[in-house]
Amino acid sequence: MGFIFGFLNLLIFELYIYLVVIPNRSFTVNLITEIIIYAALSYCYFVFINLGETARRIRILREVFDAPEGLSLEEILRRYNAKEIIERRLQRLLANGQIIIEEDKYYIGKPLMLWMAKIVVAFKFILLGKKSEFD
Amino acid sequence: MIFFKDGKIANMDILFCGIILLLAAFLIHFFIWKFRLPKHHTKALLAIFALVYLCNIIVFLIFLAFHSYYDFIQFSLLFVSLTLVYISSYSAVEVDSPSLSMLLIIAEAGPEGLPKEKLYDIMTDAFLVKPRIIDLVNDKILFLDKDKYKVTRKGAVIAKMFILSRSLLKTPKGG
Repeated sequence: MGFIFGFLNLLIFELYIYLVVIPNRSFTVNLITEIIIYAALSYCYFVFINLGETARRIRILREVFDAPEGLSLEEILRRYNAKEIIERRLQRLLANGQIIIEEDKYYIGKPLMLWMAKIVVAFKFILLGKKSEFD
Repeated sequence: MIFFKDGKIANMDILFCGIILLLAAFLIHFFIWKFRLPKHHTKALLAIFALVYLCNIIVFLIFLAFHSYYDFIQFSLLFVSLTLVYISSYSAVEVDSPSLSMLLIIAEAGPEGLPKEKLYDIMTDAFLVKPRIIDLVNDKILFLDKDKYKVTRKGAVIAKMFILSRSLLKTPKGG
């Protein structure tokens, strides 16, 4: 919703610039450039919000920040651990249909995110020469 | 597409130049990664893209290639915004995403499916949590004081930023 509202404002602003402020500029080319900038900044905003929602480092940081005396490794793991990480993600993947559960076993549902995972692995291999950070 | 019409960048060329320079920065990044992987990937990426941007801005300004301040701002916004897109997406390459890893593990199990217990056996704290704590220490966001992890000043600023954004959205702690 926010993205669409912002996009509409962008179109109105571009028309104003083209009709009133700098009328000799190419409308189409400018619009394409502004749309790319808008989409890019929207994506960055989405990433920032998503970091707060899913990033492990942010969660760990917040747990330690909430404990002024500090936390040992065991204390961190008591508050945030692999079980919670897996459960949260399983819920999300099930809700989006990316995985399905049948007779207590998980299967791939909609394959879109699986394809994304394979593309990321391919890109990781091209750039870093390995398929996982643990290789 | 006209490049440097009358010695100035024409409208289309802002888009063209921006994308070409981004590709150039990406190629430099690719070759540096192949030659010598930096210790801090994000900082190195920021340095490469900033250097490419600054070098080109200096060239364009020397040759008075921009028609107006609007062109300069538009070009800068284009380059910087696409740089931020790449750098923010790069973390998916640097660090294994648990969700994507889970999908790959489930896919590998094939038609037999994967029991949940098997997922817990593979994806442990040593795989999911401890490497991220090490990252936080390496990035000087946390430090170890005897046997307790504490937040650095930099870490406190980051934590407050996310606490504020989460409270504005009225959402609980993520993870």
